[in-house]
Amino acid sequence: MIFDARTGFLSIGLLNLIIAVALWGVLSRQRANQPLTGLAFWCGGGLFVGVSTILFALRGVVPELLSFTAANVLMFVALAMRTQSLRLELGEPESYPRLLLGMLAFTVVYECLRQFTVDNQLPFHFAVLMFGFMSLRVVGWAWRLGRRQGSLGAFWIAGAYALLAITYVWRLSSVALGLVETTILTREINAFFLIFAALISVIFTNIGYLGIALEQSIRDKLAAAAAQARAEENQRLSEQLTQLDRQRCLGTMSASLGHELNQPLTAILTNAQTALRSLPRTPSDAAAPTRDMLDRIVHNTQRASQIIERIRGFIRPRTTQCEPLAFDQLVPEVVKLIAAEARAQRVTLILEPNAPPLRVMGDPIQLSQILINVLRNAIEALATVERRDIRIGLSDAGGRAILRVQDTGPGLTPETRARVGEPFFTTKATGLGMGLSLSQTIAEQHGGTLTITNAADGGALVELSLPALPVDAG
Amino acid sequence: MPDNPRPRQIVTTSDQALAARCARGRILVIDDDAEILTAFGFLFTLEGYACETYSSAPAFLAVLHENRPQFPGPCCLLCDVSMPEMDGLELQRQLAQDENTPLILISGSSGAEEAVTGLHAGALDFLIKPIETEALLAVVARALAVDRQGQLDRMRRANLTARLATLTERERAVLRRVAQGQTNYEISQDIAIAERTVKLYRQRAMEKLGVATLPELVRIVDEFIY
Repeated sequence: MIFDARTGFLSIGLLNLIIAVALWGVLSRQRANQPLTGLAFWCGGGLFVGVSTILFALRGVVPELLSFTAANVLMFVALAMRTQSLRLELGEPESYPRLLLGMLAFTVVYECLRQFTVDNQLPFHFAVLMFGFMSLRVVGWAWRLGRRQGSLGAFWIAGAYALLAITYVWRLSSVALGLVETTILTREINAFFLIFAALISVIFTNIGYLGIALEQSIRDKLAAAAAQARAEENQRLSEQLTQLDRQRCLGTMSASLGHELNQPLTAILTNAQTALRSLPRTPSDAAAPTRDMLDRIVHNTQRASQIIERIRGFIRPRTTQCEPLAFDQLVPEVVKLIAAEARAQRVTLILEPNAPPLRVMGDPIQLSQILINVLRNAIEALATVERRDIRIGLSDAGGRAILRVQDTGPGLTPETRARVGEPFFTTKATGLGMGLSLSQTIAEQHGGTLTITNAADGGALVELSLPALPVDAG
Repeated sequence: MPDNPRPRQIVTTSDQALAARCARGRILVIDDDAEILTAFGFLFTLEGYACETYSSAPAFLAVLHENRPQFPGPCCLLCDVSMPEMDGLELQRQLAQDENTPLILISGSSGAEEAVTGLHAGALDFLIKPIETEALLAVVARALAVDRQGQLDRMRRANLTARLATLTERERAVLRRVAQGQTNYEISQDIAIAERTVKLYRQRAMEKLGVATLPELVRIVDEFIY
């Protein structure tokens, strides 16, 4: 034969040592956040196998206590440690006293057999029997691990140890039948086969273990991703709930607000109309301005009441009153309404002249509400700047009525721009954040859009686009 | 108001003015909002009506139960639906037993259920605040007309009941047969008296009831004796 058993075992031992150290080096870093006990048992077992194999190889060179007792004990301990390592992966570890007791028992029995028998037969049989048994235990636990976690690596380990167990049984039986000597440091096929099995096992068990570790880490990552997704989902849900809660709160609030406001409005309307009735029936020059003012009071009270009714309509959705209306006439009316407010803030409202005739289908109150919201926002945005202009322009863009409101304010910050129009998003300390969201809802109900951007020459630009009706002769 | 309120005597000149207003119509307003009471008060006073305001349903009931003497004239109730203590619908239920005065319900919100309940229980109308003065005055005028007619009907019935009580048994028997279309001769045969006596009873009964024609007589007999 061309191979030397001693060299072979020495190489296998060294290989075991190297792989054990390398495996530890790789996996201990990767599993930084997890207990390393299982890994320690596995790599420790590898080291012991390595040392044990080297000691086997050095029989006749080193004292018998090392090459026989220590080598066998270390091999047993290594198998016990690997079993424990797999059991740790499964979460069913052996109790440590039992583990130690088993190792101690093996040591004592083996040493006694070695001391009190003449030839090496009995301790050899005992040790190989135990190795075979322990290997089968490793196979058993690895199999369970493979089944439990669907881990391919564990099946590799089971296979490799099964090969070892078969090798032990074969060796045991061949020695028992007197076919070969107990010593393994021969040049026979017997030793070659043992070395081959050891080589296969050292490679495949460790690859298997690496596989388990990788699968574990993939599973952990998946679990972590799932946990994070759950957390995000919870967060989103709770935000939605909060929002719903606020909406419900707003609904209740506006219902009672509507009722409360209707009372004073009723008194105002009745008083104004009574005053009108008390004026002389034939309008004299003296009474005319009073009559006019009272008419305005009546008109505005009716408007206020309609607005309340509409706001309540949003909370309790109802069909809007759609009618064809002259949009180009509605806009100046609304602008006039807000003019006093603008003047108070030293804001100049510039209504671009020569607006084309525009007819749209819609609810005049709700469309006015959009414009009032937009203009109010613009007036508030101008509070911090020196030049306070708001340009209001109307145009016809291919079947759509376009209303543009541009201010000379600071415009929208990127953050605001991303969230503007979201219900309850507000940049004002006292705002509810409903204005634009409500306006967008109205625009959508009218088949239109309301967009807010920054104008090319600074300031915010609000654009309301509504489907236009054909402007006929009427 | 009770069917036969004790008539109030005119003592002072302001009584005289109030009596004139009451003759046009007396409007009782019940609302928990003082501003609204004041406003309605102004309006109805301006329109020449007598207006009484109450800040709650119990306050109104307390005054009602005193059964104060009133100047004659039509009357109607204008009552808010949502009030603390007792709401308008509850007041309507309590009044339903012994009250003929037309009731107009007003509400701060367009509660369809309330409106249906109120109208089913006999409310004349259901108005939503804020109320247009024109519409309010029209409804009030209608309510007063209904009450005026009701009062007239009640008076006529009371009058006739009193007259019917003065009829004798014989006169009653004759009238019943007249209403059934029997001739004087048939009646005389029927109750075994002379035809002349039948004519006499008939004449006397018609005088007592204050009717001049046969159809009128028949209608009253149909309404009251049967």
